[in-house]
Amino acid sequence: MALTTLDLAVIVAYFLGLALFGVVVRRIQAFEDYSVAERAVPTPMVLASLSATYIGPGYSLGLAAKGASSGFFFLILFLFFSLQTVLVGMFLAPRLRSFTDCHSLGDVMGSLYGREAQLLTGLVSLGLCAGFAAVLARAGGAVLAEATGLGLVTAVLIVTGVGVIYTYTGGLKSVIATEAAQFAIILVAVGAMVLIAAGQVSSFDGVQAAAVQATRDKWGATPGLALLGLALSFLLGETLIPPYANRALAAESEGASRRGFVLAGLFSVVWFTLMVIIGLMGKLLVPDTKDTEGVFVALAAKVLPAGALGLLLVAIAAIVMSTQESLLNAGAVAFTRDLARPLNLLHEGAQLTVARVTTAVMGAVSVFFALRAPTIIEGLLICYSIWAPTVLPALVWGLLGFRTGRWSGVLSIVLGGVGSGFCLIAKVAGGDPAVAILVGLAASIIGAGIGRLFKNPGDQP
Amino acid sequence: MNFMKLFTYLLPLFCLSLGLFIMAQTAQYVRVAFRAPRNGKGRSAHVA
Repeated sequence: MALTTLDLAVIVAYFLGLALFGVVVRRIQAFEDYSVAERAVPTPMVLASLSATYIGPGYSLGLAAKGASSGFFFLILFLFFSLQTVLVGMFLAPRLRSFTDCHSLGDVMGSLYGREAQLLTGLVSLGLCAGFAAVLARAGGAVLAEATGLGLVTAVLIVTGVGVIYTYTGGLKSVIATEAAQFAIILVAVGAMVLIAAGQVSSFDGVQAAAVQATRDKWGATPGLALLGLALSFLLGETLIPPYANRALAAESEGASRRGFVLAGLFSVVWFTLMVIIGLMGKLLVPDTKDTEGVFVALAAKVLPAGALGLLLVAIAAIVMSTQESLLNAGAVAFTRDLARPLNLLHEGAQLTVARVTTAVMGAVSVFFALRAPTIIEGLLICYSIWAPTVLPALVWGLLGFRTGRWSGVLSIVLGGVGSGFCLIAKVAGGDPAVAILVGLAASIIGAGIGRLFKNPGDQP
Repeated sequence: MNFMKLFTYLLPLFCLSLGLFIMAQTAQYVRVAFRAPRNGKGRSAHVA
């Protein structure tokens, strides 16, 4: 990609600015700052940081590519994610915030079901965060390498290293501040790009007609069961994963938690629609793009002037980094609170140090996996796929105020994980994640039911 | 009316406005969240 000096200057200034911010925020001194940002995050910051976290490469560049090939088909499916986020905001996020002594989802599960459930939740959380952080390290490095001509290793080290600096020093507090700033950059850069590109579209009638036809074709070619499975994946796949849940815990009040999630869910409708529009315009304006995955960047390179292209590439780096840093922070907090602390591996005063060291280690591990061991990443990503059937049923059950018991929590997590993991590893139904979610959910509910048969003196009434 | 044309202009304008609003909110959040600690107790002491 041909970048001007001005574009490169914008990119360098962005990374230097982030690194400098990491040095400036080194003054935080309490674990509560690091894990839940002092529980003082106002509604606009919850909205911005949550949105920046869920907008990863898949929800931006990936959706634009799907828009180019399938019209509005995937937009309809992505709206199930929007619905999920709004529902979580209305019914679950405020209840999570009411756990005022909890720093992580594992803490909440521990309060509801006991120490074993906390350990299991911590383990799944850590695997999920590490695996996805590694994927993002590679994705971010690839974008920077492609844009600047740097080697992949150097690019991966820059993207992850700069993020680790401010996550290490400022924890969730600085992650939320930088995410909000990155979110603003993303909105301005992408908004400007779409407006400029729109001026070059000769006929919107033609684009719309082609998009509607592509949607119909894709809809007609997809079996009903596959549609149901995809909708279920979008509805449940990312529900209350640790980085999202941490925003609910960090909000300044139950109302801020509710409003932040509901607004982020509603904003996702705007964002997803915009991505599909980018894909459709890209198909028209840069028809020679070999791989539809590159349609977003190809459109930007075609329509944006010098300097603005650098800003757009910064926005793409921000899309990756904001998600990655959330995962590093959530993974570090999960390790500290849900694994090291319950196993008596540390005393209360050492939590901040352990969380910081874990952040740095996770950053290094994600770089290593990103460059050397993609198969291990696949293994860790199973944690991502089994999140919904393991932790979610017991978590939602407990948050809604139903009776909880130690064994029902543990068996719900274990059987949900076994059922879903088996389907994924043994490639049942071709390894379809939607089938794995369904089987895992059924196993999880059965596990909870079996657990109810056991009585434990520690059970909550 | 072409809905796609309408959204292609409306949604980016909304994003630009929201982006500017979030920038202002972020500046305010950073000022409050990272202000220098007083009496060695930091922000918590003021909130309490």
